[in-house]
Amino acid sequence: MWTLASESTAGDAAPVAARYFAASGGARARSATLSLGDAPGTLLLSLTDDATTRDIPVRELDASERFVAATRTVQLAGGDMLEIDDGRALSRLLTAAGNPDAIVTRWQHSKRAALTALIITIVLAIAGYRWGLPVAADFLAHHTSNDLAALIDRAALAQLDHQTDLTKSRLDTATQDRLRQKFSELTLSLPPAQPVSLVFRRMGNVANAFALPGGTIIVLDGLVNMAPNDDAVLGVLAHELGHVEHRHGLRTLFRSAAVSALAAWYFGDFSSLATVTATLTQLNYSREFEAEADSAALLQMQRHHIDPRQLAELFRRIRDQGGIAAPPKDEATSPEERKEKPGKRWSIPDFLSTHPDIDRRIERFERAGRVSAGKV
Amino acid sequence: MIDSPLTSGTPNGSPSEMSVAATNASSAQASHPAQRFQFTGSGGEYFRIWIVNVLLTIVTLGIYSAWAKVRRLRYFYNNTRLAGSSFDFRGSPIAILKGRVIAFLLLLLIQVPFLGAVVLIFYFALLPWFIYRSMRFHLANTTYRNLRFAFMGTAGGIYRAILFPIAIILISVVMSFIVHFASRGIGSVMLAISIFAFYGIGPYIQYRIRAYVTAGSRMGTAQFGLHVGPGRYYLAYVVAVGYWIAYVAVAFAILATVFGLDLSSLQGTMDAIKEGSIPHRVAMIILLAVFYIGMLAVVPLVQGMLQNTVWSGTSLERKAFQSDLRVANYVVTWLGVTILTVITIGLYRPFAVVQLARLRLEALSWQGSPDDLIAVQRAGSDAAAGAEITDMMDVDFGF
Repeated sequence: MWTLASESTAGDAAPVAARYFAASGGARARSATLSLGDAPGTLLLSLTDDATTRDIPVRELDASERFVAATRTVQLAGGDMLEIDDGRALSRLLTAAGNPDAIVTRWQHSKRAALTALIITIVLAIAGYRWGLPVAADFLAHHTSNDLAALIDRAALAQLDHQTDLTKSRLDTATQDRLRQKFSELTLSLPPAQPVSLVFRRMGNVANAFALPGGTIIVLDGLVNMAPNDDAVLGVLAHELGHVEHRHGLRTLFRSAAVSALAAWYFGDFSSLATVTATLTQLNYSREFEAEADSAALLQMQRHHIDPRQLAELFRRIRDQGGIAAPPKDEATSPEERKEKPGKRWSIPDFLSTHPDIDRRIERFERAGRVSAGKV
Repeated sequence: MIDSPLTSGTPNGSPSEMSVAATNASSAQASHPAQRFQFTGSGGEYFRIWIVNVLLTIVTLGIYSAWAKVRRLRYFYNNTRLAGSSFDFRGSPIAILKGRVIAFLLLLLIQVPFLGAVVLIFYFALLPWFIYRSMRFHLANTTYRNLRFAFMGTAGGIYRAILFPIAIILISVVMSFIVHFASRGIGSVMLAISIFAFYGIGPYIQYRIRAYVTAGSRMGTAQFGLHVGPGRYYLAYVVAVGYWIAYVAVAFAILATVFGLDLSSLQGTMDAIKEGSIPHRVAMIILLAVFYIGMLAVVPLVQGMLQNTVWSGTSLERKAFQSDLRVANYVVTWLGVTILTVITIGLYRPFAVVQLARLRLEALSWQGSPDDLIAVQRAGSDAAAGAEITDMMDVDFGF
């Protein structure tokens, strides 16, 4: 692709001036000359002040890399050293003696090769981000032990409980028990290796549910209150189970961790790495993952005779009401409070967020519902 | 983390990293001029080396980074000249690779919930030891005129340098709590003093580490000496903090009165930016960017002032170094190259590193004469470096 200019031909290997520093004694420089030896593969070192010469097999010396203006050093076998200012001439001499510059060295000296390296690096960076990273992250996610995933969940839940306005659920025990019961029926058909658990929390009236990487599914009270019936809640749970089954949490986590690590290496700032796990709770699934979770949810609902149209109805309500249910009287918040956190209170739930096309999803569940109803 | 002095001119490098490796040369019999350091590298050349390093590091999934580091160090060392000779770095990439593998594993462990916290504590407990190992590795592998540098400091020395000041703070905090039970007033005052001391002890620790590094460094039989006290460190930080306070106060006042921006409230700032036309918003954002970049100036300010006072207070073979870095020029250059590095998503970085290294290195000179150098014998540091060189491991990471 590029040509590496060869530095020399054997013919122009002229002698090179050097400064000689002996292995022992002081740091006195002695003037010397390095030239091509008579025997192939050897160099001849002549010291100017006492007219002594020395034959040196080229493979016994260790020359520093050639740079444009830098002084080069050559280590000789016995601990002696040469300093040579004319780096190009030394390269010519070494090449003639059978020891040319390393490929990387020649590469670094060629403008065209450096430009090529720049382009390849940019292409690799983009391609790696687009394709390589997901593949590597997915591989890691599928090989993460469930114990480790469970640890991550515990840390994430603890963080959510402490650092967000997540509070204890106010759903009555009967409702919780009933949903738990139905949830465990739902999980029976999952591969048994994956542990899952259901946790109830509350964040004002926010209607939302999300899955943590290790299989913990958090349902907010607002969602249960807004759902037309249990089937709609189960539909959301089936969707979240789809995320768990396909390891979307871990896959997303590893992807973002890898991006942080690469950025840290490139920019030489490692402080950001300590915060990787802090972003755990702000995971946003890609559209592709959401579609996959929807498919998994549909399959589950079919298997358990849950009408997908109930889920479609829940989505419609969330869409129409901007993310929260009409607050029951005792829970109405003061206008000031509402003003403080407009984003949070009115945000679109995670399981709808990456979808500008809520309507299309509603349509998908509607159609699936009509089809299965037709079959019966 | 502890690069040798020759490469510390990066935007991230702090003055404390200017280890004593950069040293050397001629003698101060008033009769001949001081030996000035010269830097012969260029941004364009280093860019080519850097981009090849980046590409090979990516292709080898990071393994090449150890070789890349040796190439980078050699580039800066070989291009640094003093009294007609240049420096060299002979470290083995394998030793660096070992250190990086360990660093990588530690980074992974720290991400694990709960266990990570324990690992992090161990990491901080071992950090001084890592610094010590790193000093040994770097100096033992640095040469000048076939003279090896060496680091003779002990592991205990660095713990004493760091732990002694920290212990005083801890004892003072504990005492204040005890006193607090007896007398709330006195206890609270003591606690306030302790907290203030906690932040105030930083420059002293930096000074202790520098003294430890300088006292332990050798080049052959030649010894280094540090002749400044901690006061110089405090002076630099007092100036920097003074600049920062004055800058922020003036900037706040101008932004508030002229542009109506109240920076004390994030929400207010955001609202102010959202209002108005597109050009108005862009102008506001640029204004804010300039404001934050102005705050960054404390970094090169401290670096520049410390380089001058600390190097001017350092000697080799009882001949002084002199540093006459023009601090204002350094600050402006640092800000300029940092902005360019950010704008180019890092592609300007090699140029930035070379520019700053040149400014810092060429400000340095040594009052010794060539004869002083010739008198230096190899024996001193070879014995210290000894057999360890081959199996030594470079531990160079930090957060």
